[in-house]
Amino acid sequence: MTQPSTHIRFRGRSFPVLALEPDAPIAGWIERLDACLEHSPAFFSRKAIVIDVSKLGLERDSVAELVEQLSGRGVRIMGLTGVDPSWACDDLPPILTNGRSIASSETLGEGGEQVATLTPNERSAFEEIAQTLGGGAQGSQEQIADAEPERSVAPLVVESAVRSGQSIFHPDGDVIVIGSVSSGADVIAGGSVHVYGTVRGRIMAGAYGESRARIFCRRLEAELLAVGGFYMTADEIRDDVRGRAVHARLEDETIKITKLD
Amino acid sequence: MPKILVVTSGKGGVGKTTSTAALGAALAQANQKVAVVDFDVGLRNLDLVMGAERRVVYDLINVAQGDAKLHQALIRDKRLDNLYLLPASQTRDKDALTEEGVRRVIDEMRERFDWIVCDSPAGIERGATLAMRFADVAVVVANPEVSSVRDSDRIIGLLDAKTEVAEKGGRMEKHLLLTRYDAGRAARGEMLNVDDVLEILSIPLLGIIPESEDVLRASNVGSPVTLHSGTSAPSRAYADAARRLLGAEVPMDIPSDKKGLLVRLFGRRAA
Repeated sequence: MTQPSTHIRFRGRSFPVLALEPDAPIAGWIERLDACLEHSPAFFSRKAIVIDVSKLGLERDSVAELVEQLSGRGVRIMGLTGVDPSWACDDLPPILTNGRSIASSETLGEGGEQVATLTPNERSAFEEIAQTLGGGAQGSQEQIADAEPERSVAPLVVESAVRSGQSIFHPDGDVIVIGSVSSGADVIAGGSVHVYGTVRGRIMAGAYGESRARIFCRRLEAELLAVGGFYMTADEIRDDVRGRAVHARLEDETIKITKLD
Repeated sequence: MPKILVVTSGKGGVGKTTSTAALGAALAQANQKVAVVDFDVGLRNLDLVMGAERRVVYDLINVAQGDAKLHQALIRDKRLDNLYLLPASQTRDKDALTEEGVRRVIDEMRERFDWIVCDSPAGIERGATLAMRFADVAVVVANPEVSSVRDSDRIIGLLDAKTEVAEKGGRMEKHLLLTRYDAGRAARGEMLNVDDVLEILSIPLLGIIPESEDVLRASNVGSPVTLHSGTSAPSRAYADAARRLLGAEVPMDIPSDKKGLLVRLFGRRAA
């Protein structure tokens, strides 16, 4: 295979996305989705969504229909997962297996046909892609690891108070606030949240489902705490931890608040 | 160097207009050349509190749109000849104000005055954001109750984000003016006390204005309270606040139930 004369850059990167998991029967699930959208019509706007149909065992046509229905509701689908990779074609979103995209024959050009006939095994597919792209080397587990090294994400440090009406959003890592979080303010982090002041607003740690995320604060007066998608409102926060330095974590799908001192 | 001061709060009815008039008059009494500007287009009140409602010809919108000259719209106070009012329009709405128009008016006023005191409308919409847009000092007016304090907190966030000073990377000077403070009710826990409010808002305290009938009485006769009853408690508190704005160190009295107990609080900065 000849090396292309012009270079373009490829990099393996991972991004957090929301994965939607429809369940059977689809009609009922769509109805529930519509009810949700009525409450928060902008929920899907500008979000990248992956549809996970692994629990459904659908035929190709039904999946195409589901994709159409969702697109019609403003859901921007960046990928499909849980389907047979050989379905890859233009009328379906790119097919992902374990978070990596299987390229369709179109994008790969001549060599792509091989890919389409490969087994669904993600690694061998990756090897083939690596070969087709001109690497020539036999793909191995080590190479896959090289392609997507573990990233360390910088925390977001906020060196002031977060005032009412302000929203701090850091989807990739921890948020550290040196100051208080006021009533009516939100701090949303993909990782943990540390507040070196009083929390009177809402804190959401592990916003993309990371259940090991935690919340730490010097004084707890929060309106709402959430970890990994599970939340607790001010009413549910016990009096003996209110006003104290605490940390909160998820344990058996409930938020557990422990005093720090 | 003229100072552009915005009196703002987020919530309505906490005493922005009363405080604008009282601080404006107190600054004028301290020999500053002062203009008070009503930004509450459509719901103008400052002219009433200043007792100038029968002399309004042109207004802020007319000047901002170039239909009138600044000197035609400014109304000189009958009691203090270095105090002026630029009234708002009652018949227009806040969309008639543009950033460029307001900038032109403020720039022209800078040449004539030491202090330009902008009375912000309630809310966080156009009128309020334009009132604070070109300010370099802010007086945040709050009552000692939770809804007012939360709205003030929101306004402090906007002062640090949406003003020209903040956008240029500068620091907006912010002061808290706690109004309608009733020491008895605060002591009984029916109101937030001074420490609670300072802890939440964490900006320096400019003054505490006690709840008083004198304020209402002065408003009703169309006079800033500092001119109407100079020796009353709210009037003295406003005069002290004005002196602090001018850089003087004045000890702070926290109104208290217990007679004779004066807590010195000046210079404190809540963490």
